[in-house]
Amino acid sequence: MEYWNGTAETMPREELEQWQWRRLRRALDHARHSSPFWAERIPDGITSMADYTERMPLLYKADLLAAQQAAPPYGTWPSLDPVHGVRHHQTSGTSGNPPVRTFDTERDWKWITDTFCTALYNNGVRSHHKGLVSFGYGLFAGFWGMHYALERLGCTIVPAGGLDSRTVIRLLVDYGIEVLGLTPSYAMRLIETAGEMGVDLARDANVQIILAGAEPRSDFTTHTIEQAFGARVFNAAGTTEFGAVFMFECPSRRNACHIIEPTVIEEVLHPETKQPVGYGEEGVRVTTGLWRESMQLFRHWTEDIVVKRPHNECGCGRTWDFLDGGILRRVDDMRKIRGVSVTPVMIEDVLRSFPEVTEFRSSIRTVRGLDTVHVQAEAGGIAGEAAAALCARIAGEFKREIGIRPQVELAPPGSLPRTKWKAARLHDERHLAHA
Amino acid sequence: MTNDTSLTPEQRDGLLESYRTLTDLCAACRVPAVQAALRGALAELRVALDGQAVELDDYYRPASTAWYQAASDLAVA
Repeated sequence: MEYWNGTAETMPREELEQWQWRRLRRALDHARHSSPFWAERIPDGITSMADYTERMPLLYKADLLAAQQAAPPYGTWPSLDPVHGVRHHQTSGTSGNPPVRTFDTERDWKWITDTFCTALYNNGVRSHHKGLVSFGYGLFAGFWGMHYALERLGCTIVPAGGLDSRTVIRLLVDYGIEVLGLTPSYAMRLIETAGEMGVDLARDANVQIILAGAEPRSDFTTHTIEQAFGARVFNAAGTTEFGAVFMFECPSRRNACHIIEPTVIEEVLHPETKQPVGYGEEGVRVTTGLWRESMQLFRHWTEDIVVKRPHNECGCGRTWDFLDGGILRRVDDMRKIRGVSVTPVMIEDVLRSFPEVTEFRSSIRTVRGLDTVHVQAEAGGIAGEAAAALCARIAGEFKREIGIRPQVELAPPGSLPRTKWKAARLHDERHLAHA
Repeated sequence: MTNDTSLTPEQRDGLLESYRTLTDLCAACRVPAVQAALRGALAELRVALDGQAVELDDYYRPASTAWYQAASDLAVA
């Protein structure tokens, strides 16, 4: 087994926890003395990790947004004068909320890069590789860190921001690129485009390692991407609020996403009681950052549903616990339809099991007082009886897997939206009138 | 195959000495191009030492608290 940083990755658990506590103490001290926001929230005299989780209040997104609104753009949240920032990033604000805005110092940015290096090196990326990063290179923190991590690893980077899918496919083939960073949604889009171009990615390109992050995805989607590219897909995740990548998928065990514990404490709490849950139980991820000096995070309620497992269930030798399957879904992604809990990943799992389906969109509507699921699927040029048969098969599989029979219709090829970033394929339209 | 997981004590001492030297140089140097390079090198080295569990004074200490006061005043207003 090769490690990016063996000392930290294989440190005995007891030493690691002591190290985390010393870092937490210093982080709290920095925040208390340097941030107006944290000075008001941090209780006095925290004596241990247990005392911290007992007395430190949970931080919700609304708290951060209120602090930013109080003194824009960054508000009272920072622990440093923003003049020391070397980068600015922000969330999309697509949920209707204002964006969360952050800045990073030079030291913060090197750490962010290093967390991506931890993921990439441990996934097999080496200096002789060529990497293509396919995202918008805009305000989202997204894959910016991957770009700089590839550079630090000594790889050759092909920055593909803003290029159309056909050009990306040509770059992959012409340059024999081995490493690819993108969202699962965009990977599916590239597969569709390659098909239209007559390119067999597994045969004609040379992609070996795909870092697919920023969205929960179904196992079926992962499998489809791996088959189409002939490459291994790895999971990784980070957030704008935390600043960096906090987990990466281990090559030793499928779905074991190790937490980069020297720089983060990940609690898992029951979504309603907000009490800790045990290993193997679902709960909400609550993050404490131990590194960033510009914008600090203590007990951030992320809304991400995860399952934590002990490090020794993975055979890689790392002493970092792992999230089984990474981020399984968001608390607010779950919808109740006629008493059945439905998530976007469940729907994706059904739709992706039909190789004819290249894109889809689903919505929940109230029709004559009854909640129903409406699915639009693109399936190339299928028409007539074949189209009706496909719709019936999709509806049947949906009913069998999820317990609800949806209305299914085929959409014209290319008519449904494609995205490179955070695809939204389940829309709750119950507030709209439907006949 | 397992790669090297730790520094030797000599390597660790050498890196720490380099870090201190760079810190002193960065504080004293007024040549913009050199100062920028030193700042970047210090940040890189800090992350590398951290990965080896070398504990240093972790946080930047601003000389002025004017920003803190301005943000607090704005929030109150």
